Amino acid sequence: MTTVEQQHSCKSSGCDKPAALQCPTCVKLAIKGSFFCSQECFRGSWAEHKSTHQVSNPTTSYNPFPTYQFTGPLRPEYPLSPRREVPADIPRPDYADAPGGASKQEQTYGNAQIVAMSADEIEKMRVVCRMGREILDTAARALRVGVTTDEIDRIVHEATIERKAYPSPLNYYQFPKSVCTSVNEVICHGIPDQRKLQDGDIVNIDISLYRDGFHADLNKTYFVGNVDAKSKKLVKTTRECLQKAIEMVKPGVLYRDLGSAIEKHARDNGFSVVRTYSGHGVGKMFHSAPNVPHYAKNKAIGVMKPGHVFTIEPMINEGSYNDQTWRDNWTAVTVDGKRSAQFEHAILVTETGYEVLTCRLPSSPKSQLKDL
Amino acid sequence: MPDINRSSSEKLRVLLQWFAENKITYNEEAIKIVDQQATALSSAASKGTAVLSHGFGVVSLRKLESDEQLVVIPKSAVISAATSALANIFIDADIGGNLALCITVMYEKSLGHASPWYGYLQSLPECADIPLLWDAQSRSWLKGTDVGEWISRDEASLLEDFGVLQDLVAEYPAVFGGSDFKWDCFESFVKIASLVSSRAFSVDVHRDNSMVPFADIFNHRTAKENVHIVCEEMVCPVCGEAFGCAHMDALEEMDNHEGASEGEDEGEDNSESEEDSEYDEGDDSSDSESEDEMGEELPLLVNLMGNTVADELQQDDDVEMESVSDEHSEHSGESDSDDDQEDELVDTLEMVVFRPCKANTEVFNTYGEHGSAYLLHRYGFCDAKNPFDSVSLSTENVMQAFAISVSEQRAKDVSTVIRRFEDLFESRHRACGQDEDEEEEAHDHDHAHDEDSDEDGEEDNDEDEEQDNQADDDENAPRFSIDAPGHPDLNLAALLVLGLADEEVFSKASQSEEIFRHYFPVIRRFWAMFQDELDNDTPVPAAFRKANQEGAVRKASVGTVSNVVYRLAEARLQLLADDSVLGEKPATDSDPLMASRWESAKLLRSNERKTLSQCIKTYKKVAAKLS
Repeated sequence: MTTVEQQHSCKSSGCDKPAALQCPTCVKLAIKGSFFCSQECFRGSWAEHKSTHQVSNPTTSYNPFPTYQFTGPLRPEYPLSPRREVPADIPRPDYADAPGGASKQEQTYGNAQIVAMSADEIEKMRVVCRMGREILDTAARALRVGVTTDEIDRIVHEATIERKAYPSPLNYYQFPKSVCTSVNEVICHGIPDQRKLQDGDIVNIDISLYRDGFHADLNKTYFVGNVDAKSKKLVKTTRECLQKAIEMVKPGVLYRDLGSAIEKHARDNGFSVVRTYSGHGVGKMFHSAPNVPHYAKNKAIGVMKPGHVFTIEPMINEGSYNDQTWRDNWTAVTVDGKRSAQFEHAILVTETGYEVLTCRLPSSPKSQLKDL
Repeated sequence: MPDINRSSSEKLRVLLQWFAENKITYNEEAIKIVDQQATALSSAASKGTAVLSHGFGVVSLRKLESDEQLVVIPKSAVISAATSALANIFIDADIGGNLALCITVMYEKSLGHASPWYGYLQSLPECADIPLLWDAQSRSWLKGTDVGEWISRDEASLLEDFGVLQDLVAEYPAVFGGSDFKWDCFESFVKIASLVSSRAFSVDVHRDNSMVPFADIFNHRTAKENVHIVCEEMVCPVCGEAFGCAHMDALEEMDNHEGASEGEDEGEDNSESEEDSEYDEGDDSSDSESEDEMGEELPLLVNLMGNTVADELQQDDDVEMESVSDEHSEHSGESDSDDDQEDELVDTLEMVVFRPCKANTEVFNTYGEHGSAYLLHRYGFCDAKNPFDSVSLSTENVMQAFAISVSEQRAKDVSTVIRRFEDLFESRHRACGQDEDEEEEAHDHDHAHDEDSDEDGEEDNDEDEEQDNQADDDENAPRFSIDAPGHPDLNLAALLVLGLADEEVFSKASQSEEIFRHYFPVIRRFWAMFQDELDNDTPVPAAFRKANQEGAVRKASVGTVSNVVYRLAEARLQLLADDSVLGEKPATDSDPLMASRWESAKLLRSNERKTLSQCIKTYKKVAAKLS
C-alpha cells in the first residue's frame, strides 16, 4: 500500500519549493527535517546549514571529507561538539575576538624581535607554565581506550577555565577547540572530535593557556593501551631529541644549532624530522620570535640571551619528513601515513644555562617511557 | 686554514657543490665560472684595469640572448645581517649597515666548516684590492682626486667601526669566544671590509646589503654590461617575506591610524624574520564570514531511498571541489612543504641577460651607473671610458663662490636654504657614491622593471655604513659635482641660479616653501635640457632658447652661473694638479699589484682631468655667449 508522502518544502531561507532530498549528514545524525529542493539550493545554504551538525553527544559520527585522499588509516569523526564557552571574567588574548582569529599583536613590528623577559615576567611565566603542566597531567590521566579526543578537550577546557585561564588554541586563527590532540599519523594540530582512542594508538596532547598576560605551551605523546615496538621507539627517541636540544641551551648558543642535535639523534634511530613546523618564542604572545627549526643546517636567526623564553617541540616521523594538511586547514599528517611523535617544553635561557618552565611536577604521572 | 694553498679548481669545486646544496641553479649549457686568469684577456680587451684579486669570472659558452635567465639564487642562500644568527645582538647593540654585514661574514668565517656558508666563503679571495688597503705610496698616487679625499676619511671610520666590533666581542664572550678566530686583528677586519665593500649589494629593504653567492662572481663593466639582477625589492621590512605576510596589513593599518602609537611602542627595529612559525598564519583565509564553523565538505543530497541523485553527480563534483577549496585556500590536500618550496622560488634573485653576449667571452654585470672615483674606491678598479664620471666639489668651495660673487650673508642664507630643503639636495649616487636617497633607488628600480628600459638599476648599491661614518661631519651636506662629460650637477646648477640672483628674487624664492619647491625643479629641467643640447653641439644661444621654453631663467643669469661654474672647475683642477705624483710606473712583471694600482690611479686622474677640462671649456664659452 502506498502511503502519501509527506510534502516538505526546501529548508533554504527564502525558498519554498517542494523538496524531496535530504542532507545525508543530518540523516546519519538522525536530525529530522533537512529537506532541500536541489543541490544548488543546498550549496547556497551550506554555510549556515552545517552548523546544525554540531550536536552534543551524537550517537553516530561521519567523515566530513569523504572525497579526500587520506594518507593513513585515521579519519576525522564529526560532528565536532559545539564551541565551548569561556566565562566572561577571564581575560582573553587579542585573537579570541578578532575576525578570523588573527592576532594583531603578533603581527606588529615588535614581534619580529626576540624579547628578553624581566624577572617579574619570568615569574609569571613560571606560574602559567606550571598550570599548563597540571592541566596536561590531568588530561593524561583521562587517557584510555574508548575515550574520545573530544572528551579530552572537555577536560582540558574545564581544567583551564577552573584556573581562570583562557585556553590559547581556542579561536587562534579559528582553531575550534581548546587543545590539540594528535593521534598516530597526525603530526600536530589535530582537532578533538568523536573518535574513540584505540588500543595501540599514540596520542599527543598539546596544551596552551593564557593567564595574567602570558601564554604557556607544552605537549607530550602518550601510549594508549598496548603499543607496538616501533611506536615505542619513535616516542622514546622523540623525547630524547627534545632532551638533547634542551641541554644545549645557554647564553651565546645560536638558535640554528639546536636542529643538528635533534636531527642527528632522530637519524641515528632511523627516523626523520619534520621541517614545516618549528619551535617559537612564547610569552606575551602565543607565537613570537625566535623561530626554532628542528632540523639540521637551518638558518634560524638569533643567538640566545638570558631572559629569552621559547619552545622546542620536535616532531619526529617514522617514515618521510613530509607533511600534508587535511581539509580542515589544521590537521597536519605524514604523507606516507606512518606515525609521528612530538614532545614540547617551554625553556627559559638563564645566565648560565636553561630552566625548563614546563617540567614535570611531583604530582605528575609517572613517565610511560621509564620502563622502555 | 691557509686557504691560499688550496688551488682555485678545488675552491671552485667546493663552491659548485655548495650551490647545488643551497639550490642555487644556473644554466650550465650557457655559462660557466672560470678562474680570473682565463678572463684576463677579455678584461684587457675592455681597456680597463683588471681586478687581480677577484678569483673567478663568468664566461659564456654560447651566444646569450636578451631576457635569458642565467642564474637563480634563493634569498635564503644570501648572507645578510638582518637574517643572520647574530641579528638580535646587532639590534641590541644598534649596529647596522655594512659593519653588521662585515661582522656577520667574519662570524661565519670563524665557524669554518660548521658554517652553512662555508662552501661559499672558502671560494672568496682574501681581500679586494681597494684603496682602503693600499699602502702609503699607492695612496700618494691618488692625491688631489676624489678617492684621495675619501680614503683619508675611510681610515678614521674604519677604526671607529673596529672599536665598535671590539666592544661587541667583549660584551658577548659566549658568542665570539668559540673559535681561534682573531677578533682583535685589525688587518683581518679591513680585509673582510674590503670584500664586503666590493661584493655586497642591496637585495631588498629587509636584507639590505648582502653577500649574494654567484651574483658576485660576475665582474663589472660600465655601460656595456650583459646581465642584470632581478629580484623583488619591496618586501616586508619586518620579516622579509615577498608578499602576503600579516605585517604589511598591520603596517597599513598603522599608517591609516596616523600617530597611533601602539605599534611604535613595541619597538622600531625590524631585522628579524619569522619563517615557519608553528601555526601557519592565517594570512590567506579569514575573509569570509562563512568561515565561522569547521570546513566540512558539502555532501550530495540523498533521496528518501538514501541514494544520491545521479544526474547531479557529475556536474557538481568539480564545482564542489572549487567551492571547498575557495573556502580553504592554499592548504587543501597539498603538501605544506611543496607550498614552502613555491614560496622559496618566489623569494629569489635572478641573473637575466640584458644585452646579448657573444660566445666564449666574459659575461659582465653592472654594479650601477657609477663614475671612476666611485668604482675605484668601492671596487678597486675603473673603466677607461665612463659616461658616469663625476668629480666632487667641496661644499665649502661652493659656498665660497656665493660669498665672493654676492656676499658672506648670501652664502649663509644659501646654507640655510640647503638645510631647509634638504630632501631636494640629497645626493645622487652618480655624484660620488655617498648617501643615496632611498626613494631615488626605488624609483630607479621601477625604471628597471619597465619593458623597454635601458637603465640599469636592479643593482643600485646602497651605501657603506663606513662611508656614512666618514661623512659624519658633513652628513647633511649636499654633494655637488661636475658630471661627465663636463657639466655641473643639476642641483648645483639650479642652486647657483637662485643663489646668485639679486636680493629680491632670492628672498622671494627662498622664503616661501611653495615657491622654492615649485621653481627649483623647473630650473633643474632647464639645465637638464640645456646640457643635453650642448652635448649635441647645439650652438649656445639656440640651446638656451630650446631649454628655456618655460621661461625659467634669464640669459644673464645663466651667464653668471657659467662663470662661477668654470671657476669652480678650475679650482678643483688645481687641486688635482698634474701627474707628477705618479712618478715611474712599477714594473708589471716584478710587482703586478703595484702596477695595477698605478694604472688605476693614472686612469682616475686622467678621467677627472678630462671631465673638469671639458667643463671649463664648455662653460667659458657659455659665459661668453650669454653675458
